[in-house]
Amino acid sequence: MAYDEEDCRRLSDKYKKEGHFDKLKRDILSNPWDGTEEHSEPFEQMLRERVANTVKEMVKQDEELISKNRGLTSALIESQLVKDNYSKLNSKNDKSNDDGAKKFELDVYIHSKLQDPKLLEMIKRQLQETLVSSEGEANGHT
Amino acid sequence: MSGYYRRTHPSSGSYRHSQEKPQYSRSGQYQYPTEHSYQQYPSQYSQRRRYNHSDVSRRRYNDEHSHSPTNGSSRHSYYATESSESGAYVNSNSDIDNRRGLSQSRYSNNNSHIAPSSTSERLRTDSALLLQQRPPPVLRYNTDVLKSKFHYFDPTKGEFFNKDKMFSWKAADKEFSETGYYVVKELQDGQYKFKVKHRHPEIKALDPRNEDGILTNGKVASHRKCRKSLVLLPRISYDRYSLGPPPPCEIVVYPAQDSTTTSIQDISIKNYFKKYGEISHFEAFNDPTSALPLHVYLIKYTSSDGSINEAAKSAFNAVRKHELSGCFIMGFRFEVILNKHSILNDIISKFVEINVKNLQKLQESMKKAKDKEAEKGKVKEAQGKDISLPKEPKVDTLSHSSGHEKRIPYDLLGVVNNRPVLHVSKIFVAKHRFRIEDFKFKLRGYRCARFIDHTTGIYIVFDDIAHAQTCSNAESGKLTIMSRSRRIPILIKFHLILPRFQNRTRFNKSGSLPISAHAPIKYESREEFIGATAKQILKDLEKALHVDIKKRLIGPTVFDTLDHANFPELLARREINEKKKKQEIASKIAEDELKRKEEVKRDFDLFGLYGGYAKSNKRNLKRRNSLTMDHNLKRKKLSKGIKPMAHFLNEETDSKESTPLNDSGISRVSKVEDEEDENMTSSSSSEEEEEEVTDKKFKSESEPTTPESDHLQAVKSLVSDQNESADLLDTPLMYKPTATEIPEPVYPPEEYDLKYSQALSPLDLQNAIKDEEDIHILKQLLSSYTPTVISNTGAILEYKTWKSRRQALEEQKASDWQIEHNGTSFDSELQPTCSFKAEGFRKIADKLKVNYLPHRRRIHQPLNTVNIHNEKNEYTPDLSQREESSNKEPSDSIPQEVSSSRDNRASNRRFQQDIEAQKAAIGTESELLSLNQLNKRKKPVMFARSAIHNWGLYALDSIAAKEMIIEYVGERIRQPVAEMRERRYLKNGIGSSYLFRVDENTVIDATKKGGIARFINHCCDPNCTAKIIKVGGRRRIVIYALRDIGASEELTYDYKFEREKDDEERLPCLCGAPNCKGFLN
Repeated sequence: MAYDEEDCRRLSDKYKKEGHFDKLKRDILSNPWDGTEEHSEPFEQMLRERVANTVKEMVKQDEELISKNRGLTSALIESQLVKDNYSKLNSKNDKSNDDGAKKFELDVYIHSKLQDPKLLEMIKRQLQETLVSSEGEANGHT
Repeated sequence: MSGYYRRTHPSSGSYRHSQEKPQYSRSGQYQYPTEHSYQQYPSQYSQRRRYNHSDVSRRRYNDEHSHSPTNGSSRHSYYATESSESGAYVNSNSDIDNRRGLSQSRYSNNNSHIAPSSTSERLRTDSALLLQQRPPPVLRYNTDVLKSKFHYFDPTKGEFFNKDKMFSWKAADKEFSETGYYVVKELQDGQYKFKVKHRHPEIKALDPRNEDGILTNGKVASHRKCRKSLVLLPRISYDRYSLGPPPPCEIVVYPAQDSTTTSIQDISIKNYFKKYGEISHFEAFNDPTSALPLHVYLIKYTSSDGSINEAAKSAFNAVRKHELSGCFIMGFRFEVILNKHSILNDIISKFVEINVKNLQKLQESMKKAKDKEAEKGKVKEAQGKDISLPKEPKVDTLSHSSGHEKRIPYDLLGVVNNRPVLHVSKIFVAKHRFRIEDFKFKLRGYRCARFIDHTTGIYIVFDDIAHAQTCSNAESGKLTIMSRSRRIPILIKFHLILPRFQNRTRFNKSGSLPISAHAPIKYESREEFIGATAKQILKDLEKALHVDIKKRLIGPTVFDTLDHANFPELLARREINEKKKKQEIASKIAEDELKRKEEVKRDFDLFGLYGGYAKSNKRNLKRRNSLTMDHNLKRKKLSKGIKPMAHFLNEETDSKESTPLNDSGISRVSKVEDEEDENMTSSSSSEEEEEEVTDKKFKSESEPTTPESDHLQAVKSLVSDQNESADLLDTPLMYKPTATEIPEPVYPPEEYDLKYSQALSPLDLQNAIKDEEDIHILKQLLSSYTPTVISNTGAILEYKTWKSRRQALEEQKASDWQIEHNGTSFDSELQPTCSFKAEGFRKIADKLKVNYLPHRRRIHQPLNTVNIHNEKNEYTPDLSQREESSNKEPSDSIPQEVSSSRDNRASNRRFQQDIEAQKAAIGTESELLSLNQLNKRKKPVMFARSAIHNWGLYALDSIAAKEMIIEYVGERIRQPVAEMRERRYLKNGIGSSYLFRVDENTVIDATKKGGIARFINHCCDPNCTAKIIKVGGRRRIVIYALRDIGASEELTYDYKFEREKDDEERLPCLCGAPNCKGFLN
């Protein structure tokens, strides 16, 4: 049977509707980012800490940041952080952490996570199920 | 044609002759004249004459001897014959005969009617019998005198006395022809005269219209224009006398083309046609077979009052407007026609047929397509893989004029965002100088999303392809816009640029253009399909992750981190710093105060009493003014103004850098010119700045950061280091240098300085000496002069000085009050030279009274003593301002917003009408409950004593020109009542007239009952005018402002009384205007 792009889209929509997508997202975020250690915090937590530290550094450098309009400054800081693939967040690692050479590279991390072939397989499997079910439904209707 | 002239019979005879012989019978004879030979004579005269010259009859009469039995019948029968000749009398004869009995009939017997000759003898015998019965007649008037005069008839003889003297007019008088005559009024010798003309009955009458030789073969040379074409007659309104069917009031609207892929709502059609008239019936028709809308509509118009003409007119207009080109509604063309001869059904059936046909076609094509596909499918399967051609979107685009495909310029890609676009090239647009507004206007019927003006042309963006296509189909090549360069309408062609992809992406930037698949890819196997889907999902996941991180994680974290609570040390440090600063500032101020006080103490005490500090205040003011210039310049350097946001973060780093610059700048200055002056300015400016700085507000809402204050401190320190003498900072403000062109004395000028004419009082002299320096100089001056002291004069001198001092003070007070209340100082005449009592009685002219009596003043001076209830007028003008100000100064106050705009009034009116309708429905008296609309528009005004006359009306707030102020309310009376009242009031002594004419029959009387508008006085140069407007169907008098009126200004308008002839009736006008006419009437 021939499928085309639209079917692709429809299937992915269905998949998302079933909630698999969000689950994946959550998993990635909440998984410990460092596979080696056991008691490491989830990725999310790490990220937050990183961000907070960065901001504190910035404030220390320039005290006036606080006194300004908070919304504005936060937006500005945010944009600066996100720039260049989270370069600021990445580089901080070298200074603050005493632990050796633990690189905190956000985008790399995410990328690696996504490239995981296991992940792909899981997705495929789920898609398969979804497709079957959807086709079953379609058949049921007609 | 002349009129006939009737001549009355010269003699009508009622005469009686005494008859001697009653034997005559004339009755019968008198029938003879009814021979009818002359019956056709028109003239009565001729009739009568006829009788006279009927010799035949007379002769017969003479011969005869038989008489009618009635003696008196002769005369009677005379009447009878006479009467018998005229038609009317014939009947009376017959009547009389019927009445005949044995009694005497006064008139001749019935036999008289019948043919005379045969019955004559019988008649004679009968009349003789009758005559015998009656007594003989007594003739009384047969005296000679009378006989000669009158035309008597002898009853005894039976003939006229003057018979022989009579003759036929025919023979004698040649003037009148035998056949008759007529009289014509002719122009003879310049006069109209009556001419007698013979009648020629044999000549046929001629049609005078054909005379004068114009008549030629029946062709009449008429003076009417030969019309080449039919004349347009006005439409005759249809009423109950009209014949034929009533004019059509319905129109049928149907789509013009077959492109009926319409998604038009019925309501838009209805609204479109509403503008032609009131719609009573609107019907949309659906296809009976498919229940789809046909978009055929029947609209019936009606008119508010039910007249069919209005409705017909609306329908006619609606059709006429769209006769040439159909109407455009929402991008689709419709035709509009009148529903005559029930054409509606034809149209509907037509459309139904079309639809059926279309359906059939569709079905056939579907079948064919299916067959084809089946074939294709087979082929494909045989071949295996196949790449189908990219499907063209099912549109019939207008071919592009140029060969290459039009592209949307890159910078517009984001704006256009993958939507269909109509393009008009720039060359074309520029040549004719078209603008977007032209296109906007012309294409307003279509649902265009956006109009873009670009260097390559004009782009019209649509959200939907269908819209774009319909628009281009309809308009391209047909739309004309007036060219601005050539001033002729130019046809416009649009190029339709279709969207490139099916999916619209939000960010259509260059990166994503090549990415998304141009052609839909087909996946043969499931696995492939699933794999592809999985990849898609991964991509989505990545995007989603990033977004999530940004939004949910980073953002809030940053925000929270910036909270002040996180940095307690910082905050603490901050606070300490600020406290320090505040203390410093406070100490500074305290120092300044101390210095100033010292300064005051240094002055001579006596003069200090008389306002030394006051003067220094003034000096301060002046100093401030002169310093502001420098200050502003400084400020500009220091204030950062508007900056782009990105620099905001950088600001802090910059400010630190800038301060040393400024510092160095100042230090440089102070180094170069090491004079007191410069330092003074800088230090004083720094003082000023400091004070300003604490008031300044930053953009941030949190505590104000004062980089300037840091800077100032730096400056201060610099300056203070540099200056060696501390006195410089401490010198009183008075002595500080000023930046003026010419050197000024330290003390401000006194009154006596300004007015040289005034004599100096000892007080002034005392005040002149201000400080030690002056005393010193004075001493020097007077050192040579030795005073001669007279013992006596000591006390007097003292008294005199005291007196003069008192007087001066009093005068000063009085003049101050005068100026405060009345605006101008006293006139010189009013100034008392000696004691008031000593002056005696003198009359002060009215002109002078204006100066100090509030109700006497000229109205052109704005009134400022109007006391209204709680409000006190606190208007105390500045001296200088008063001198300059003109009388109309309040008008340049801030223009007030009009309290009720026209729209407000209109909505109020509607609201009121609703209320009234409701109240009417309820059934209560609407008059009582009606709201006086005009009340709402009333401006705040108040009555008070007037400068013109007695009481007047004053405006409390300023009023803009052409605004309604107040309504003239009063009793509404008729004209005669008004006249009566006017007289009565005059008799009662009410000199003022409060009668205001509405129209020629109605007058409003506000004498005893009315609104405060009755207080408005007359002026020959008014600032208001009265107008009559209709509110709720009734006429009302309303006062409008002619020009802007200031607060507390008296309202005046022109009464427009009629000019009185009598000089004593004229009333003098007290308005005081420059162009006053002098009289009210």
